Amino acid sequence: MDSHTEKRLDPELWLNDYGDYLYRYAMRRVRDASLAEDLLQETLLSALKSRDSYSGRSSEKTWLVGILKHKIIDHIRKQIRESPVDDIQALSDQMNQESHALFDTRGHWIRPPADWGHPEKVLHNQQIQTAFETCLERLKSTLAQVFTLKVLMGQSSDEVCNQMDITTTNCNVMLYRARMQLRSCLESHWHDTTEQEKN
Amino acid sequence: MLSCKDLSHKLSESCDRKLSLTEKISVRMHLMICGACRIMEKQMKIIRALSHQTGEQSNQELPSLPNDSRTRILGKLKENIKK
Repeated sequence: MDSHTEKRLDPELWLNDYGDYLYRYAMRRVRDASLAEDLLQETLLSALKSRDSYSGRSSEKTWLVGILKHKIIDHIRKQIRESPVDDIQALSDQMNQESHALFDTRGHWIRPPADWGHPEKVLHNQQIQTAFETCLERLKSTLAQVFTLKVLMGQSSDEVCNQMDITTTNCNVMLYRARMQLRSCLESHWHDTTEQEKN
Repeated sequence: MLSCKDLSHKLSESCDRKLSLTEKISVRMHLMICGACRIMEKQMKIIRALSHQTGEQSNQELPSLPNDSRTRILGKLKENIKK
């Protein structure tokens, strides 16, 4: 180990340089301050233990984010396993209930979806980003966990479904409900604000 | 013929698995005649892109690590460095 690496592989400097970044990364995904603190601490302690095996091939920051990412996925997995997934009947009951608010008995839209504008243009809009974050926070816990694994942790649908230890059908139902809840929430939050702008 | 409700399921599933050819055709046929669902398809694209953005962003707007947390973690680290 040359003096340069030795100087850099210093846990106190990690906390100093990347503490905020890692803390926010965890906060975005677990949405709980004390949990984010625990995960950050565990990450730095693990890094300390394994710093001799740090190859230096990736940047220190990337290396630390990688460790944190594993900790977050492990944590969400454990959470999901500990909260028994609703039984099949309850799951489809909830879905039917939510469907009745959107579709009539023949499966037609009760209120047709609103045009949010051109996908590429709308993405740069700060308001829709804020609305989306609010809507993510409102997702019910299991759906939020599923969605976090899938979208914020970049896992494939198969990986998520395997971790939850439920059938593919039930997993699809949960992802469907998460997407539809986000859609409905955005519809009320985002569409309304554009209407106000027009007036 | 798919209903709008069926179509919403197929659109969601298309993010998770590859639809069969028959499914793809029935989705396309429904979209051809249904303006409401074409809008919904666009909304789903926006949701996908927003989700992707949220995963990539630097989270600058979130609060930084509180000072007391920092002190606690630093203490734990020092304890472990000594060992």
